[in-house]
Amino acid sequence: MAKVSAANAELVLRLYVAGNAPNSLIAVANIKAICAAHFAEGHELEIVDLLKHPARALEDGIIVTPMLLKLSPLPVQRVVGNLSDTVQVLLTLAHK
Amino acid sequence: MSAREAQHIREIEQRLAEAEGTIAALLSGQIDAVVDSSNRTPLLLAAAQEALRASEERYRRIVETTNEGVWLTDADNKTTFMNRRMAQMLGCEADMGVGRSPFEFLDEAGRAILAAHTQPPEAHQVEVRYIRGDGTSVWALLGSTPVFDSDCRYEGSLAMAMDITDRKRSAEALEKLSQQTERRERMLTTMLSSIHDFAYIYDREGRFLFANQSLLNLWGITLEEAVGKNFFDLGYPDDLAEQLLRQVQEVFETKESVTGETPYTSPAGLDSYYEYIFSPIAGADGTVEFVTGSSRDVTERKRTAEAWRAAKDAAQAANYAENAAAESEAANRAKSVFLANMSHEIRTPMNAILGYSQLMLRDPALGAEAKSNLNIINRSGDHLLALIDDILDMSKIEAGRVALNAATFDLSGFVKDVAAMFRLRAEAKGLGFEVIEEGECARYIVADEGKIRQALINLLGNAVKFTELGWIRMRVSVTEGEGGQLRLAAQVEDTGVGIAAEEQNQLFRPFGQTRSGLKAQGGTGLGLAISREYARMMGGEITVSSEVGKGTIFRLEIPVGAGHARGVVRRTDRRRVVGLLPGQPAQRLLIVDDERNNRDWLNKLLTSVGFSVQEAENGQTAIRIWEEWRPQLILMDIRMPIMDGLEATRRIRASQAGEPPVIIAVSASALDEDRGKVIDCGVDDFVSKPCREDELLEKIRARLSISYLYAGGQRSQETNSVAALASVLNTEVVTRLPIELMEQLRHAVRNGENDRLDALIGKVMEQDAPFAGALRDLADKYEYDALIRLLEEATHA
Repeated sequence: MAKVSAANAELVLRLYVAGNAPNSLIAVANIKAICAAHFAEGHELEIVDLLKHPARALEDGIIVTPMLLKLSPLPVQRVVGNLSDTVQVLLTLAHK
Repeated sequence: MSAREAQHIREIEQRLAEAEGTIAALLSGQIDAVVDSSNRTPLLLAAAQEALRASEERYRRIVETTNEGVWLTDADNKTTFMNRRMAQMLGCEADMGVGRSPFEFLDEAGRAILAAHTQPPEAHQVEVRYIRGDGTSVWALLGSTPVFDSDCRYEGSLAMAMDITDRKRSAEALEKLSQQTERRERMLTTMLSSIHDFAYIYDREGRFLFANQSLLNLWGITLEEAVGKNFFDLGYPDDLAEQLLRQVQEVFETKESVTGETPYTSPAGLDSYYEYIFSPIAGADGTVEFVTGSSRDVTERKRTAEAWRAAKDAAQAANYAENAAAESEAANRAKSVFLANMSHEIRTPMNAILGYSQLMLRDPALGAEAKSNLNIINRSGDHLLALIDDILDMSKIEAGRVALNAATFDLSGFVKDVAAMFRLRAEAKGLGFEVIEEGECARYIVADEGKIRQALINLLGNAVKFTELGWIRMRVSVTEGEGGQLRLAAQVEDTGVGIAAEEQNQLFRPFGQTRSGLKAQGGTGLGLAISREYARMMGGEITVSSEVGKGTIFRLEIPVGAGHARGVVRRTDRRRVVGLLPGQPAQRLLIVDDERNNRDWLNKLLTSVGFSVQEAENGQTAIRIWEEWRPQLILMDIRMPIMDGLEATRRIRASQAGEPPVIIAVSASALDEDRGKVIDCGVDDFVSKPCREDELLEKIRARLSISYLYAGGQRSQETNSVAALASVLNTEVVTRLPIELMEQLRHAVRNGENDRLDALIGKVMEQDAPFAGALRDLADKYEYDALIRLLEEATHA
């Protein structure tokens, strides 16, 4: 885990959305704003449409959208919702 | 608690936190979709569903209402979707296109273009043409974007098509038009370059906008150099440049073509003559926008025309001169003949008037008033005769029929002679009359005596006529001028009415009488004109100076030659026959001719020379007359009716009776063989018609061995008679005629009794043929003055 943590100092995020559904669009906007404000130096953000790629959602165990996955650094953590509670999002992303 | 247990607990806590977050999110409505784990399908929550539907609706509306065609294809290039607009463009229903390749709708060129952009797929924008099911076509501006999935696999293409058929068509039309325009311009330019004539276009200021190659060659510059230049810039002479500019502007103003011609020397020094036309080029609004012109080199034509015209003019002038000369000659001849006839026609009745008035004047029983009236008739008759003579003289001068007859004469005697004529008349009027010969007058001079006499008679006559009181004086002198030239001056001075200065220049004009002349009611007014013409012909002049009421001085001056007494003797070697030398036996001549005119002419001629003449109109008559009259010579015409000349000649020759006559054949035939035939039949000689007087007379002289008298003067009609008279008188062979006959002759002449004169001349003929010939000659020519002189001198001889 330390090894992983050390190797993945960079923040890797994946956001699952449901097409152009309202909360999904808000979530996209929020995460982009948070990344731009706090992780401008290095982050990776993938946005996946649950409607287009249901198989991947199942693989990642997605049950609702919008759902943000922090894939790195470990541990993997999830935040559900439109990510409007910025403090909660940052706490989650900072969690080790 | 072990580390594993602690880890486990942390995971549980994390999951609980996640669950708590999820529940919070759910409760706060932050969830869009839930995944149904049993059938693995995402379930959209109502709000998300609605939003999605609205979104899709929005896009669908955009797609369906846009004016652009929207076309979706999959990775295999099969159509998955096309909007209504696209279907409309392709001429089909929207769902009919699904599953088909977009290539199916393209024309061949379009397929090739598109293929280039789809392998590999890339964004592109092209113009292609779709062919519809009904065969029509549509042009589209096609913008295509490839679509990739999240794994970068090609999923298909999104294409937007805009109908650009109209734009394309107008562009095509434009292209076609511009091609046509370009082609037409090329044709025109080539054509204009290839013609020899000049073609050009001016703007309003007369500047060249275009000039074809021929003109550029003439100027030796290029089109670029020529454009924008006016005539002055191009070095045209100022006057020509101004003229051309004016004409260009005239076309702009009048909208009418103008033409012109001009010489022009090119910069290279080529001199040519050009014909040009400027025409308007109207703009859309009807005003003249430009002026086009063309010029043609007409130098050759001009030269040819000029040469032709010059030749024509010359020919015309020559023709005209010839005609004019011929016409004037004919006119003058006609006039002279007319006047001669007229004077004769007038003289004949005048004979009766004068003759009878004189006869009546001898009647002692005549009352004073009747006598006075008869005198008036007589004077008027005399006057009329004088008029006729003047007119005849003037017409001779105008016809150029007056010749000079210079001869030596005795000036002193001449002056006395003339003076004698006027002394009595002047004295009868109570006027003094004086003749002064100034200096050492040369006695003998060479000049035309007759004309000087006539001029002096005229001047003296005028002086007597216009002077009522005082005297008349004539001064005569001969002086030696420059180069030894003698000049005769005769000045006639009177104390008469005088001539106003403004009338003096009219004096010498034919038919231009002055006021005093008109008042005096005498003369034709021709006298001075005739005199001056005579003076001028002799190289001299008559001048006048006069003062009204005081008198007039006329001065005649002419150059004369120095003469000698010897010269007064007339030469007799001139060849003009005047008559037979007296003292020869009478010569009888027979004229045989069927043409009356020919006989008349020959008769007149031979009679005037002094022969006795008879006529015959054919051979038969000729033989009879010959037998009776025995002529020494026969003039025999050849072709005659009843008996021709050949037969008559043979018969006369066959007859042995008496002296054989000389026979001269007169024939119109000029052929030698005819002549030979004529001579064969026995004629002595041959004269061809029309026969010349001298030739005929010479042949007669030779055959008869007789002698003629010849005239001493020139062959002038006017003075032959005087010359003839002189020769007659100077040969000292004048036969003494009875004094009564001479008196009768004079009387007949003075009274104009022509018939009687004829009869009297016939009598003279019997005794002195040459003298009679001279008299007849003068009478025929109406030379009555000369006739009188001849008679007077003969009487005194």
